[in-house]
Amino acid sequence: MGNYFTMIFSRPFPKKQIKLLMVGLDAAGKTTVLFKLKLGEVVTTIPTIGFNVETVEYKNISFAVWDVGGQSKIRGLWKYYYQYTEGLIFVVDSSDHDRIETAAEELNAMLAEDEMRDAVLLVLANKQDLPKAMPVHELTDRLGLHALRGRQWFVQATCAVQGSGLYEGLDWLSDQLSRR
Amino acid sequence: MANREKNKKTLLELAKLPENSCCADCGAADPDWASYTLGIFVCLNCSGTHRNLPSVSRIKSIRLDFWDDELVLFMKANGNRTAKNFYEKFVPVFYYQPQPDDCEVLREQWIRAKYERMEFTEEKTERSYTAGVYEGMLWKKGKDNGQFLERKFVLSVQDFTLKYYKEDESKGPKAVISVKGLNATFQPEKIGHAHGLQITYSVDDHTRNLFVYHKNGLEIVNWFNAIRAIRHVYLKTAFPTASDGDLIPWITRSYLKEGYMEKTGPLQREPFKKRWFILDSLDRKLLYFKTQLDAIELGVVFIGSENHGYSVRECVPKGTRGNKWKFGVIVETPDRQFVFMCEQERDQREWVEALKTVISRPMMPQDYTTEANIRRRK
Repeated sequence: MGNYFTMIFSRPFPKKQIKLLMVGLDAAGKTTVLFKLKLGEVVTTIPTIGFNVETVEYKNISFAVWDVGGQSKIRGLWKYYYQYTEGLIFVVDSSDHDRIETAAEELNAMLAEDEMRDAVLLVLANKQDLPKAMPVHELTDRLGLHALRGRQWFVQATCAVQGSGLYEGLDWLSDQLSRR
Repeated sequence: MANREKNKKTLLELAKLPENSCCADCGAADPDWASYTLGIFVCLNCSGTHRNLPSVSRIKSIRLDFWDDELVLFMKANGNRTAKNFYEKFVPVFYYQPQPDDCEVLREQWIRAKYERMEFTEEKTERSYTAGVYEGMLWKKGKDNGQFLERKFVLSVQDFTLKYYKEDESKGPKAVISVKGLNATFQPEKIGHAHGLQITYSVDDHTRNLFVYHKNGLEIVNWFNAIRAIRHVYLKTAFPTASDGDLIPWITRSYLKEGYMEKTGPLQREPFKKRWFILDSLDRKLLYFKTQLDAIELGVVFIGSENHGYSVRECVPKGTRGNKWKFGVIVETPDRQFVFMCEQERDQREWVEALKTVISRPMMPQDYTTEANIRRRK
């Protein structure tokens, strides 16, 4: 009986659980972002076939972060992960000028899906440490974010291997989602 | 869309050609990823390294990505053999070329050396690791503690030695190690560092282990290849008539199997103790240590050949005492029967298999010397 009460009183407010879906073109750095958040370490990654999922505790929120492979042919499978997604993290390799249009198309197609209607959008402008990385304002333009209507969105500059910008991104997400 | 299906088919056919049927970088079978800037077929693991070098290599999956016509034509025009003839044209004989199960740092540096630094496209007379002298700082584990400290190491072809110094270098080297019995092998897991290298040599008929690492991956792989370069020169001097093919396995060697087993004493009534075992198959030695990172072995068992009275088998031990583990391995030698206990059935099977490999190989002249020395020690 004693244990029962301790259990209840030690957790007066159950942690909020939030599902985040992290997608983006292949080699954008999604898995590196995931494990940097989870372990605080840079892991050596190989292309993700399928997905990784980890819970990340931050500011008394428990984020379930789904990291789904980004090869061209399997982007069509992203839709199977949409259900219950409250936040969408779209990771972009800021130095990949050749494929920014492709990234924009994939992003806009996803945002047009009915299931993603209420999801807030966090874009991680990753690999900011690389030469020729596009700055946030340029990425914002090229992804066509100003044209979005009825969507909360934010672009955060990051460098996942150094860990910079990641928690700022989570701060924005937790602000947006805790208001709900 | 029809094109894309056709392209996938073409690529799968290309990947099946004998020249493309192994990963261009580690040799793993049936690669199904490709670098469309280098025109090579690679395995999933190596593709992970290529992704980090966007200025030289871009990666796509044959099965999970769409391919445009021009890229398929490029793959067709190139392929692993063409790339090898160009990027690996002048790889020195002693240079270590990684295998599929080698550690990350070896594979990564091999890929960077080939495509990023283009180290082997031209005949260079001198590379940093072939100069005959290689020196620098390495972080070395203390002999009797777990602390890693920065130490200066000097490898020299002049006197075929590896020396290392304490903080005060003016006092002369702490150890002068002959290249004769020198070995080096990457051990990231054991050492707990992705660039961990185990350097082994003999002192007074004992095996001495040094555990070192360097923060920079290129530097530790350079050390490894510098050791290999000097070992190669030494072996060529010692065995002038032997071919490179004969000498290469002796340059440096990995251990056939390592792991914990429990062992008892000669009477087989002594309590079992957990020990870390290393099977050095080329030297025919089964060494055991108290822990994984011990400097010197507690003991050694010579593993001879079948027709000299050596054998190994699994056993269901009866009446053993004090052992926590249940999967037994019996090694018979002319002098003594050894009983080892493994934790898992899989370990037992692997140890028996590994020991059998050594026992089934005939003994070479130098093995008789090793056997005699080990017997004399008892």
